[in-house]
Amino acid sequence: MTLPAETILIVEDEEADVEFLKRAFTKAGIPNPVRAVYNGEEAIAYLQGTGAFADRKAFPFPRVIMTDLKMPQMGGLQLLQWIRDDPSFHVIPTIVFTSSTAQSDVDAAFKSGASAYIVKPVEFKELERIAKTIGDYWRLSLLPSLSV
Amino acid sequence: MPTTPSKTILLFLKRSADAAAVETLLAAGGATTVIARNPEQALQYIREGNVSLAIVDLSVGVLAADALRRADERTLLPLLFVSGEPVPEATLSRIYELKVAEFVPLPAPAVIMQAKVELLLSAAAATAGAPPHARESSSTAQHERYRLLAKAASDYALFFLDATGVITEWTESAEQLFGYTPEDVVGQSGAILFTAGDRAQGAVEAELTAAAACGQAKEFRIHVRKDGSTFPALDRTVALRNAGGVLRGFAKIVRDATALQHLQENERRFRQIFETAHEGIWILSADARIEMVNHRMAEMLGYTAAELVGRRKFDFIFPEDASHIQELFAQRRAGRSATTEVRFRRKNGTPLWTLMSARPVQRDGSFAGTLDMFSDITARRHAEKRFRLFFESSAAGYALVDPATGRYLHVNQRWCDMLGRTREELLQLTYRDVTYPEDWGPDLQRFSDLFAGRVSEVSIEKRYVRGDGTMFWGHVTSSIVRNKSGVPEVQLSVVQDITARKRAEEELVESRTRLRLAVEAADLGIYYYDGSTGENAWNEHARRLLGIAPEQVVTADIVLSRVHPDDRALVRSEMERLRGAAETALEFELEHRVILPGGIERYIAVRGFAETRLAPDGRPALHVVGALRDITASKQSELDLRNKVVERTRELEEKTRQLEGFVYTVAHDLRAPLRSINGVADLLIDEHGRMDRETALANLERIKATTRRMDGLIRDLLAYSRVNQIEIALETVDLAAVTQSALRELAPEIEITGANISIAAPLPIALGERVIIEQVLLNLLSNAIKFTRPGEAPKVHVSAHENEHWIRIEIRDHGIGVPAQYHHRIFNVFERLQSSRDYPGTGIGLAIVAKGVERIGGRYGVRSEPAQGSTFWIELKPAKI
Repeated sequence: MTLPAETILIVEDEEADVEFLKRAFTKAGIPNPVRAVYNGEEAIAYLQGTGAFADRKAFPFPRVIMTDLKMPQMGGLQLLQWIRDDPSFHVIPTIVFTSSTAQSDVDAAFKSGASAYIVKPVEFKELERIAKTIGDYWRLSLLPSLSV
Repeated sequence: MPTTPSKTILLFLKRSADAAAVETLLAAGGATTVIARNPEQALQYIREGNVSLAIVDLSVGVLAADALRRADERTLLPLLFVSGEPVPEATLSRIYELKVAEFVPLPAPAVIMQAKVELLLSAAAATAGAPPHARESSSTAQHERYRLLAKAASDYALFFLDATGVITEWTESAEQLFGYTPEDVVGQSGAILFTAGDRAQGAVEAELTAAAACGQAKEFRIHVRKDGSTFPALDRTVALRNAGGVLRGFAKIVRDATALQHLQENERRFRQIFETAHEGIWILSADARIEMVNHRMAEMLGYTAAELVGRRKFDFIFPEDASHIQELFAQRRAGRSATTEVRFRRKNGTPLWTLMSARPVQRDGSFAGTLDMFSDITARRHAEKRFRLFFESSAAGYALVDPATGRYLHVNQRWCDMLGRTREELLQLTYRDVTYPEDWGPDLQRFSDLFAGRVSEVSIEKRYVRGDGTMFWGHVTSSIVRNKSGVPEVQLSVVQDITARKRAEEELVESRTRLRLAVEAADLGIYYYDGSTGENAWNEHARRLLGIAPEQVVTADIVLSRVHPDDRALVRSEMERLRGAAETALEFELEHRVILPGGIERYIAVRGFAETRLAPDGRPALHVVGALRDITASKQSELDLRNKVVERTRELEEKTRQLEGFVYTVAHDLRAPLRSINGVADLLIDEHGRMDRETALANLERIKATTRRMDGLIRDLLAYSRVNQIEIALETVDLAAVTQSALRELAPEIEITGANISIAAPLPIALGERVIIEQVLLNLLSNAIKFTRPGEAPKVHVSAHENEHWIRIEIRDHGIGVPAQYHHRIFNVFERLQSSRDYPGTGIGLAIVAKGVERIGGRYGVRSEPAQGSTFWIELKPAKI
């Protein structure tokens, strides 16, 4: 089962991490298009299709969002809350992808509506395995419909 | 008293003591006596014809006595019976039947004895002197004797009556007494001598009849003289019979009893005094025989008077006193009176101590004996002995002092011991010699009061000096014994050594003083409640602590009224608990607030214990002792401390939280470059051989850039850490110099960006830490240069403003600005508003600014809007010069 049109939105301020994640998805055999923004404000603009993200063809509506917590200006938790509180976007599954192992961050993330919480590994091999697991999970689970 | 010189009286008495007593009595009257030891001896004396009267003990028997009388046929020997025993009436009747016989109970007063003897002799003489027809065998000598007697006896009248009562012979004595001459009355009836009353009653006849029947009659009668005057008299009418027993007439002896009456009266009075005297009295003969002794004396000696009469005084003494008493008696014999203390031996063997007042009795210029009077001083002697024992054995010092000189007259051993002197030594000293010099003045005043009689006793505590010069405390009680005229005779002092008590008292005072000082030093209020008296004693400090006036009575209600309303329940319940204190002490300790007059609130700590003790009357009574302390200051500092602790704890928690956040953040931010390096290296390994040379070099360059970034991050963290760790020693810091120093650091960036930095000189001098201030300015200036819009040259202006509290430094740029909602966040560690792609940085710079300024007691902040530039400011303490 393939999801050719399903876009993954990565919210991450660290360029290297975005690059590695994209590569990991590729190596894990997940062909879905990946788009990246570097903080919460850009993510909201992307979801709303405003500003630089007005072109839906270039920036398709994401089927899943992966977000870092700590970013310049609006961080991951604020973004999660914003998504949870917006009736148009709260059905989008959100995966927190961060280097923080603090339990307070884990708790806050789930309270803010995160669907999953994954810690960034140092080893690329581990990142590959994570990307594959996410892909497998996606393939197996049913997803809510998007009303937009 | 008329006596015949030749008369000899025979004494025949059962007991020699009686004989001696009677002999003494008669000797006083001038009579010659002979004593018969037995009937034969008595007969012998009578037959010799010299006996004119016999005194016979009734115990020999009336009939035996009559036999004695008949031993001399010539005369009717007068008999005087005596007896120490009561005599029945019947015996007395038989005595009078013997005629010319009389009876005297023993012991007899001298006058009575003498009167009886006289009467009997007169009667005998009368019988003997009867006319020749009446007395055939009368001798001339006897008659002459009778005549002389009759003549000399002025108070006796002798006359004769015939059997019918007619006066037949009238003697001179009768003439003298009645005033009638023989011519007047011879041949007349004797009735003319009677009162009309007696005659009317037939007294004249009755008397004669009685005399005729009984041999004689005795009457006490009032007679009438020739001149009609009357006088009291003792009548004796003796019946005269011839040898055949035929009544020839009567002899009548009338004794003027006027004198006798007086004599009897005197005798009675004397006897009364003698017998009722409180003193013992005896009269001793020249050979110390007891002639007469009163009841009191007999009683004192434990005998009856009869047992004593006739015995010698030496029978009643202790052998060891004999020589002394004989010596005393010798003094009497020498004519000296004396008053001395003499000891006798009682019948029961116990001693009788007497004060004897002895007087010699002289008769006819020679020693006749003594009259001694005795007071029983045995009790006094006992008391004296007891006193002496007491005096000597007492635990107190006793001293008798001569009030005039202050010299010791008598001291007991204890007093010698107390003063550490011998008795001989002490008796040479005066009261003053042993008085501690400083105490002499006060003593003098007190004792002058005593001597003047203003006080009856002086009781003082004073110091004495021992023989060795050491001092001791004594309690002396002194009183004065005065003579009859009130002059002080002797001063008696009783002294107790109270040195130990005095020392204890001094120690008590000392320890009380120490306690008081300790209480004062400890700033303690003390109170004491005594339930047995209800006394509630609060010291001054305790009152002050509760705002209670010194004179105010303290009650539980007063105390409660001072207690802060919120604490009253606590204090009241504690009071209740204490009321239940049993004999074992209940300790208590509590803290409460009080509201003093004026509304001042203080914290008081109370500590003490309560117990129930039995009062002297046996009732249980609560005793409470408590100590109060003002703990407001410590309470305040405790509260302050607690607040500080709370605050510190909060700060610490905040710091810990910050630190935790910091650690996570550091971990997060440090792992990112590591991941990057690792990721790129993995890529290079994976693609080894497939990757073209340029791409590989670019990736290697990325690794290098990332390590540089990581190095910058670590450096900034170290700077941040240093700002946190550096020891602050506030100093004056020249802000101009520090700014220049920071700008020198930034010279490469300024050059690259072409930044325009302007400074509004002069910059002032602040109080702070130079290294920190330089770090702060460096980061602020660095940010101002960095956050500019792309393509624009940075433009930075540094200025300073100053007031008396603060120096404010502002760094204004014309860069991208900061949205208002991020103004606070930007000062947190690793907080970044821009991606490192656009504005590389570690997110630590402003955290260093914030921490550094905080640590030197300054303030910081920012005014900014996006695209309008930012003005970051810090405020520092000015250096006060």
